[in-house]
Amino acid sequence: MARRIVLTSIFIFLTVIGLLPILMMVLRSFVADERFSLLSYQGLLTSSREWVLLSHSFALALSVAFLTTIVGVPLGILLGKTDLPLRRFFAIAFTVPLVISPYITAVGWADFFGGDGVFANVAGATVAQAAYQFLFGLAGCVLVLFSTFLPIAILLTITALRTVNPRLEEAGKIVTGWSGVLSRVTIPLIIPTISLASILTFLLTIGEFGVPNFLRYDVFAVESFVQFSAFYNFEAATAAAVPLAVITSGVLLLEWFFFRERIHQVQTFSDRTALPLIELGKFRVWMFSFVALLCIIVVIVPLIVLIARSSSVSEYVAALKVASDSLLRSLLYAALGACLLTLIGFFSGYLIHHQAMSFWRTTDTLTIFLFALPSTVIGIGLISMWNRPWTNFVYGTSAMIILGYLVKYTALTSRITASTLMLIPNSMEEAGQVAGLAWMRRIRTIVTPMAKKGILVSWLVGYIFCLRDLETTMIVYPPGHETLPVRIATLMANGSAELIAALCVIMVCATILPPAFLWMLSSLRIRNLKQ
Amino acid sequence: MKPIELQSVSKYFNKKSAVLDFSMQIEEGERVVLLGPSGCGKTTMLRIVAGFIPPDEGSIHIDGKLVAEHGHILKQPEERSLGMVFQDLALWPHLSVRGNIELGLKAHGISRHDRVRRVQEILNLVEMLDYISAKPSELSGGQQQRVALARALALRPKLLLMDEPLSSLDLELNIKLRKEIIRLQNALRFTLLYVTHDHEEALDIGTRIVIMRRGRIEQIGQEKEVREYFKRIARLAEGAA
Repeated sequence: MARRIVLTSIFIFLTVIGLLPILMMVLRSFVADERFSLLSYQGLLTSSREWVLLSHSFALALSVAFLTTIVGVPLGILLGKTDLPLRRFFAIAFTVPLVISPYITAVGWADFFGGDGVFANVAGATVAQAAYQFLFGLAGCVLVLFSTFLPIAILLTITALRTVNPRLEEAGKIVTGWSGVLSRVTIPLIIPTISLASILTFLLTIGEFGVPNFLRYDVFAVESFVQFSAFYNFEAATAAAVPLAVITSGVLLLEWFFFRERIHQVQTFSDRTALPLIELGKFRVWMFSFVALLCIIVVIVPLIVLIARSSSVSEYVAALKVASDSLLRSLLYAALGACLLTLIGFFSGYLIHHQAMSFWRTTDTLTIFLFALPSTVIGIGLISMWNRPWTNFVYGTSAMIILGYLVKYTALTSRITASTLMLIPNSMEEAGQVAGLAWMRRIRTIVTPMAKKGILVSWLVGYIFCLRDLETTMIVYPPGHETLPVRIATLMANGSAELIAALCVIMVCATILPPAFLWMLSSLRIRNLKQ
Repeated sequence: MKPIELQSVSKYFNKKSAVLDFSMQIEEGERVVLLGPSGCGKTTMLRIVAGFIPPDEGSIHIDGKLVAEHGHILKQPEERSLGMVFQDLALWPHLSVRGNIELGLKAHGISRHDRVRRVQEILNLVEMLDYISAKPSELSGGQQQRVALARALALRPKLLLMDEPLSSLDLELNIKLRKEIIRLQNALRFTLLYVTHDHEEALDIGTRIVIMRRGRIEQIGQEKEVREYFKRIARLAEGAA
């Protein structure tokens, strides 16, 4: 009974905080003067600007998805399946741009190509100016978002390679070399995951407004945000957000139709003995150089530029003076959001893994839909729902920011929990059931201790994504509750480059250091326990 | 009152029958073995008796009480007063031997004093008292087996279910533990429903053996009848060859 109540409550909660606001937003966009109206969509259907926005959105999303896939998949194979030196280091290094806000990378690149930047010193002012102009547009957005979302293709490819039955590869190795096995056995088997990576990148790019906004490239997400925040034209903002919601739904529906069942069929093979690494031989040095160069370009350059720009202590003192309250708020909201995300993600992951209720698939689809949905849509949806006199106790407070985190990122913690639970045999919980333990007690005394590492990862991922969030927070934060990413974004208009760089470095440290510290602490504890 | 009564039990997965029209009664103190090749439905039957999955058709009585019928579980596993040893043993790795046994006793509201006494009693019975503080990962396969048995018996169930518990052990240990199971059953007088695919194991342990094939009961009998059945099958196979 407790299981039914808890899991149903989680489903209802996710529906109310996630789906209901989107539906209310869509419904509201069809109402003018308390009557059905298509007024909000008139401009959308007739204005040529909307078509430009649509083509820009598609051009950006398709370019980033294409590039991350053709670079990320081979890179994933190199890092996950070959004897490339330092492959674990590279796998972690390439993940860094994903865990920091993409606009920070954009700031780094802008600084690099700027008039007094490193590039100008090396290539001369004229070339640097041309490159700077080139950065502010499609090319710059593609560069930044490519480095941000490249880890998705890399990490999913590495994960997918582990799901391939080694016997199938061995059967291939008897008749052909590794290149033949990869191209005819391994890659065809992981195509559903590769497609998922491309689709996810496409959806995350199409909903991204921080980078296009900074690099001045007009896309739907920016339009929706500008209509909302600059003109407070709620109807126009909604009308610009609805196409994004429709595109997301359509793409997810296609993914579900073609690949869903095939992705669910893959399983992890624990027998690693039969998986020797591919020896790169004479290509080892070349491959290493290529990967190292790519790592320097997409990960290290923007960060080094920011660190170099903000190298004086006075900049950091000034930055903390300006934004210490935002930093503290960010840390607090991210920690709180991560705790709630871990809790809700745990039960929703449990529901999905055990297929415990009839609505498990709906819950899974709903969380993924909300994750893929552009943040502007989520933000405007949340405001549609909560901006009412009788719900001001939510709307006027930081609860809006936390709600935004929960709506956007539950898919991550839910999926992490489901993957963790997959490693715990069902018999563990069944043994508790036979021994007379009620469900909550089984969760507390058996499942949670056995899943603690996954729960920690879930919290860390939740923390990182809450802390780096700009888009949702930017739309829903109430006055006096701005977080550090929001403060940086607002200061970009009139703050000095050194101050912005210092704030970005502080932001990167706040994102990476606490999780790294926690992870080290837990690893140390596990090592001590083993000894 | 019979410990178990199964009436026309059927179970389907994706419209394919896993168990079909399975009926039998088990007497108190009997050791009944479900024997058959993998995929014949014996584990499914055991899981239906345990209450993890409902029968699609038919009914199940445990101790005279209706516990499941026609797609509905009327009593959850924790309400059926049974013990179970799983194929993978399912010892909780984060708990010590004591913790593994004590958890069920705690859930039943048994006092601390009684818990300590019962844990010691049962570990003494399976000759594992020296390992009371050890974690499952520190034990050998045979020792883990004994702890799983102790955990299942700590609550003094009238009915014990065992799902191929010895399948992962080498032959010598397997034979030794068969004797151990029989000794414990004689000492504690519980009813045993045991699943295996190994003929010799089934003949050693069972006072009655149920041979299953494609979800149905092919033969029920004691050692002599079962041996006759296998001889008959062997002759048929030779004739066909």
